[in-house]
Amino acid sequence: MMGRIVKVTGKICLSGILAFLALTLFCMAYYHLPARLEDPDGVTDFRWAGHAFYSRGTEGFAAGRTNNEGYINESDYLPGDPVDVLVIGSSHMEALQVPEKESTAAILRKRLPDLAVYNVGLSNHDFLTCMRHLPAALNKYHPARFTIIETVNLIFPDYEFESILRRNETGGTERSRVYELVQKNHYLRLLYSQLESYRKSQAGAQGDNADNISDSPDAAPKNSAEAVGRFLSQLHDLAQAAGTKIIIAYHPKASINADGSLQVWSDVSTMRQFDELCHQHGIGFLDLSDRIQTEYQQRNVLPYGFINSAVGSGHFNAEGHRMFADELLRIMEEMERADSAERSEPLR
Amino acid sequence: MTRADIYRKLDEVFQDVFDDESIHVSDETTANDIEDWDSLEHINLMVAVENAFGIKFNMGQIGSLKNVGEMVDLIEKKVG
Amino acid sequence: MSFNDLGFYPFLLLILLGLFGVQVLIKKEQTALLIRKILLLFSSFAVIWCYRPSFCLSTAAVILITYVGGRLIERAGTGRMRIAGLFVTALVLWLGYFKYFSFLLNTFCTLIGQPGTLIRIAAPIGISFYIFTAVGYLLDVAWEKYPAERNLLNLSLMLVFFPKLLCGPLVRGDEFLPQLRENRRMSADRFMSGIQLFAFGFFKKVVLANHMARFLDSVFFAPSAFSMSTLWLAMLSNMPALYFDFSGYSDMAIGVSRMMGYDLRSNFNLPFITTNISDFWSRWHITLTDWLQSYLFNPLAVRFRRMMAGKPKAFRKKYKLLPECAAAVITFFVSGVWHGVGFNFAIFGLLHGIFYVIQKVYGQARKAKGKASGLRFVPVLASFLLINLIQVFFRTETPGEAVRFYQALIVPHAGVFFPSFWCLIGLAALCGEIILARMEQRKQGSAELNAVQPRLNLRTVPGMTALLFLIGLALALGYFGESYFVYEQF
Repeated sequence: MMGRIVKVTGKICLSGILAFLALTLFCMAYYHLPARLEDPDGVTDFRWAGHAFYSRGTEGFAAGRTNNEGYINESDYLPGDPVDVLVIGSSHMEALQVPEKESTAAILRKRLPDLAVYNVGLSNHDFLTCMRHLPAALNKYHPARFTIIETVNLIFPDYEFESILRRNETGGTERSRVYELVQKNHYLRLLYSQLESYRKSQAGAQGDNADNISDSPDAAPKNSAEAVGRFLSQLHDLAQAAGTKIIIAYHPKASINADGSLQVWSDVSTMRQFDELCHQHGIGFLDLSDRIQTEYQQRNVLPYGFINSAVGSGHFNAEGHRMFADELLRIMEEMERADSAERSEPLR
Repeated sequence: MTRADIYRKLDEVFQDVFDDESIHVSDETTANDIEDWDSLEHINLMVAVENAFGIKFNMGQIGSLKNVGEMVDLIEKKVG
Repeated sequence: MSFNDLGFYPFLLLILLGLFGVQVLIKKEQTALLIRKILLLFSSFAVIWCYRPSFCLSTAAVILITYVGGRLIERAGTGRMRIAGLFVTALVLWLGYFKYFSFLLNTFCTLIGQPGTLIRIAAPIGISFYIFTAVGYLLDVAWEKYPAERNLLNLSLMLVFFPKLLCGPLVRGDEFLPQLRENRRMSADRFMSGIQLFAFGFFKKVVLANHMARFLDSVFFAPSAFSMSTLWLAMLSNMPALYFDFSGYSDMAIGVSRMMGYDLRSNFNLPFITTNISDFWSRWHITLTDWLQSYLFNPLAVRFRRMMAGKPKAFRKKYKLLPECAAAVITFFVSGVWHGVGFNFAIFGLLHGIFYVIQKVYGQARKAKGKASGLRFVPVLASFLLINLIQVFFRTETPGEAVRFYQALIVPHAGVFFPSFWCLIGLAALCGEIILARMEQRKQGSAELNAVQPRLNLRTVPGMTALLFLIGLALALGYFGESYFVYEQF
C-alpha cells in the first residue's frame, strides 16, 4: 500500500517536473524577459540584464536583445558616446511588443541619420518616476539636442508637481518578495503576471473606479496653474543647465464608441493649459490626441492594440510608434525653427 | 379484445401512419425496424393508436415504450 | 464562486479530500453515503451563499416546494395532472418573476409613455437550471415515470449539486436520483477521466473563449467601426466562441462531477457539422434540447395532434406537419427567452423556430421526391453561416443593434482592419476537433460522427506530463482579464 502511494507520488512529481520544463521552454518563445537588475547610475528604476534575449507573444509578436546597458537600443552604449536625443518613458517606449526596428526610438534614429538617438524607456516608468530620475539621466548622457519624456498621464496632485524635482531619490521601487523569487523562471514570471492581471480584473469588477495612478481619494487640488508653472520652470532650468531641450510627449488612451466614432480619454482643458504653460516655460509639448483622431478617421488605424490582444487598447503598435515618432519630429523641427533666429544650424 | 384483434387493428394504424401496406408488427418490433419511425412520427403514431382504440395515453407512457409488445400490453390494459 | 474564480479551486480541493476521506475512513456504507451527501449539499449551499446569502433561502424554498409537490402528485391518483399543473405553474412563475418582471414592467411603461424603473431583481444563482430540473421532475412523477423521491437530501442534491448548479448540464430524475441512492464512490479511473475532461474544458474556456470574447465584444459593440472582412470574421467566430465558452464550462462541470463519482450527460457533440436546425440542437446544449423536447415539445405536439385527429383525413394529410411545426415554434420561442431577457432573445428563438419549420417542410418535400438527405460539405457551411447569422441576435443587446450589425456586414464601408489571431486559432481548433472525430469514426467504423473524449493514460508518466502541461499551458496562454461568460446570468 505504502509502496504504491510512493510510486504514484513519484510518477506525479516526475511528470510535474517534466511539464514544468516543457512550459519553461515554451515561455522562452512566448514570454521571455531578461533578469531585472539594479541601475547603479539611477537613470531608471531598474535595468534589464545586458545583452539578454527577450521575446513577447502575449501582446504582439516580437523578440530581440537588450544592449549592453540593458535598455532596448539597436546598438551598445559606451561611456563617453555622444547622445543627441534621449528618449525616456514607459513600456510604450520600451516597445517590447514590436520588432526593434518599429519602435519610436528606431524610427527617430532612421529619420535623423546624423544624430545619436538613445532610448532608456522601461516598463512601469510613469511620469513621476521619469522625473525622479531625470537629473541622473541628464547627468549621465548629456543629450545635446532633445530629451523626450513620454507619458500616458499628466494629471497629478499639486504636491507632486511641487516636490518631484526636488527629491533626490534615485533608488528603485520595491518589488515584492514573491516577485523576487519567481524572477528566476520565465514560466513562473508569466504566471505571476497572469495572476496580477486576474487580480486587477477582480478589483475592477468589484470597485467602481477604472482610473489609475493619480487618483487621490481626497480632494487634493490637481494641476493648478501655479504648481504646474513652477514645476515647468524648474524643469526648464534643469534642461538649460544640462544643455538640452525637453519635450513632454503625452498620448492618452482611446476607445471606439458604439456609433463608430473614436473617444480619446483626455481632459482637454487641463491638457490645453499644460500646453500653454509648457510654451511659456520653453518646454516642448506633444499631445497625440489630435493625431490619433485624424489617423482613425482618415485611415482607420488605431495606435494601440494587437491582433493577439485587444482592439485599440494596450501598448503602442507599429502604427502608434509611427504616429508618435512623426509627431515628435514635427515638434522637434518646430522648436528648432523657433530657435533658429538665434542659431544657424538646422535640425538635419 | 384479444391480443390478436389488437394486432390486426394496430397493423392498420401502422400502415396508415407510415403509408406502407406491407407493415406487420409483432411483439419485438421497435422503432429501428421501420424506416420513418422517428420521435416525431412516434407522436403521430401514438395519437393515431389512441384514436383507433378510443383510449388515451399519458406523456410518460408515450415516451417510454420500448417495443410494440409493451404498447399492446398497455392497450390491453386500457381497453379492459 | 465558480470555475472562473481562483478561490473556487482550494474549495474544490477541500471537498474532494473530504469526500475521499469519508470514503476511506468510514466503513459503514450507509453512514458514508449520508455524510458524502451532506458534505455535497453543504458545499452547494456554500457556493450559493458566496453569491448572496439570501439566495440560500429562496433556493431552499424551491427545493421544499418541489419535494412536497412530488409527494402530493404521487398520492393524488386521478387529480395528479391538475396538482402537477399547479406546482409547475408556481415554479415557472417564480422563475419568470426573477428574470422577466422588471423587463416586462419597463416595456409596459415604455408602451404607455411612463418612465420605467431601474430596479433590477437579482436572480438567485442557477435558478434557470434548477427550476427546469424541478419542473421536469414533477412532470415525470405526474406521468408515472418513476416514484416521487422520498429522501429530501437526494432531491436537494439533484437540484443544486454545485458542479452543475451554475450552468448545467441539466439532469433528469431517472438518471441522477439513482446515482445518489447508490453509494457512488470516487475511483481512480473516474478521477483520471474526470480531471482530463476538466483540463480540456478549462483550456477551451480560458484560452480560446476568453480571448475570442475580447475581440468579439469590441466588434459587436461598434460594428460600423470595423472593416467588412473583420466583421465577417467576427460573425463567423461568434458561435464558435460561445461553443468554446459553454462547452468548456460544461466539460469542467462534467469533469468535476466525474471526479466525485457522478456521471452527468455530455452537453455538446460537434455542433458545427450539422446541416439543419433540428440536428444542430441535438448536438448543442443537448440536455436543454432534451428537456424542451420531453416537457414542452412532445406534450404540445401530442395536444395539437389530438386536436387534429377530429378533422377529415384530407385535411390531416395536407397539414401533416402542422402540429409539429406549431409545437416547434413555441418551443424555440421559449428556448430563446430562457436564454436571456430581451426582444433580441425572443427573435433569436423565433428565428430558430422558423428555420426549423422551413427545413422540416423542405426536407419532407425532398423526401417525397426521393432525394437522399446526406451530409455534404456545402450544406454544412451553409448551415454554419445561417446559425452564426441568427446568433447575432444573441450577442447584441437589442434587436436594433443586430440590424445595425447586419447592415455593416453588407453595406460596403471602410473600417479598422483587425484579423483577430485568436479567432483564427479558434476556427482552426474547431476544424481540428472535427478532423479528430472523423479519424476516430474511420477507425471505429461507426455510422455517426461523435466528439472524441480525452483519452490520456494518466497512469503513465507521458500521459500525466501531458495533462499537467495542458493545465500549465492554459494558465500561461489564457486571458484572465474581465471575464464574459454569457451563461453566467443563469
